[in-house]
Amino acid sequence: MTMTDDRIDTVEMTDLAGLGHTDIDDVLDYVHVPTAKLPGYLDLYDRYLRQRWNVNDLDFTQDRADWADKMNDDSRNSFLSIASGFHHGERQVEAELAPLFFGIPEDYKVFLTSHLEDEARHTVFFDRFYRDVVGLEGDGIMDVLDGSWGYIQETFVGPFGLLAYLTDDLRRDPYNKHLQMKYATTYMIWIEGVLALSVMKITLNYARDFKVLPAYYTGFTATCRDEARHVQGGMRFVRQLLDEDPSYVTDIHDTLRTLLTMGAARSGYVYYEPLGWSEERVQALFMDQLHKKLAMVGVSLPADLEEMLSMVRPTLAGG
Amino acid sequence: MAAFMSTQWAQQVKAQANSWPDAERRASKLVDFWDWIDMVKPFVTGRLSLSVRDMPDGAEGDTLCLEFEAGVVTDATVCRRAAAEAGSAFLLAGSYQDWMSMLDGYDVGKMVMYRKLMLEKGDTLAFFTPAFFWTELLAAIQSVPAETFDAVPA
Repeated sequence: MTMTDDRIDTVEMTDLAGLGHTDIDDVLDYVHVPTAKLPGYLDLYDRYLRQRWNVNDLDFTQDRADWADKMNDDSRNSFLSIASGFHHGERQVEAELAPLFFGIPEDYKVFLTSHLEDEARHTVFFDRFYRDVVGLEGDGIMDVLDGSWGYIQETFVGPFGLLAYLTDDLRRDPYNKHLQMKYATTYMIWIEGVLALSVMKITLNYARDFKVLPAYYTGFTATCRDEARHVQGGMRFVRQLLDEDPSYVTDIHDTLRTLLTMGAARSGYVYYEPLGWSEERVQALFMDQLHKKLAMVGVSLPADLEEMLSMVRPTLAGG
Repeated sequence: MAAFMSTQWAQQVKAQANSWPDAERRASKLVDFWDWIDMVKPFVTGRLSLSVRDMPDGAEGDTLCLEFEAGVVTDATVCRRAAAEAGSAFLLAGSYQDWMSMLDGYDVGKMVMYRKLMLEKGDTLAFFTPAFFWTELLAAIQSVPAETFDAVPA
């Protein structure tokens, strides 16, 4: 479905307070544009300057009350199982971005500075949520991350470990375009484009439909709008590499083959039902999100990858 | 208790890896997970070396070499990294301090995610395809009691 111009304008121009009343499904739709309409890097940077928000403007007082009074143990546990993947995911995508700077086009470097700042802000957003609402304590960011580690799925380390190791590869050889493509497939297509946008929809639909956690809804919807810029910038970069040499598509497929193999593993159940979801619905969401990202860069999946995609067990994380 | 990075310790690691998981660990995860491990095992063949970058003097070696055939450890030795590296499909390396943290119970997922162990040889995508086989291997290694270097006579 194509978004109407007035819905696009609403998402693009709304300030932080207004995002608390913006439908998350509109923000998610806003990510997807056809290849020909992918914005330029400097357009995305300009959009960042207009859309930047201050994490310290959020007041979690009502969220804390909702967490204690309106949510029960089941919904709190399900929520933490999902949100903790983001708590750690945001830290990971912040920490792993720097080596990409060296070997990319100059305009992308400018935009990437804003991407990095966004990820730092998202890390602080989750740190505040876990301190002010969930009640975790600690001297620094890592103490609170350690406190929520027990909630994340064990399979989290698959895509995020891969990203960490590809980051090392890129640090050692930053101009290698095969490595850049593998990195962009892992970071921008899979982690940001599939995992993050799917999981955002689950917790934000829950907060919207059950009318709870208003500051979380506001900050995370703003985060989602930030991710739209990152994904669009990443898709432009992927498309640019493919235009230089179409054989780089093999790197996309090879990387997805590894990600989808890991994605077929799960070590424990996640109970989506208290949040109004089912595993089948989440799986369908993953498949839809991957197809949409690949459509943005004009890449299709070979039959074996389509079959592997249908076997994926959702990893509830993002960044 | 065998000394860390000794022949005796390597043999205990081999036995532990090949009998992994024990009943308690198996029960702690879904059957699906162990089915996935069984699915990737046939593709795990070749040498994985696990090295300590700054191993203090006095130990037998700084690198544990595990030879795999379809997910089974067929040989386990301790040697010097220079000797191990050439024939390794993958080489992971970490500092002595991080190795000690792992043996002391530090989460094996964090060992990977926070790069306490880095892949210093081998193709990254190929390494991660059976990712959870490796994290289970690290958990098996972690479960083998070892005398740390300070307790090893020089």
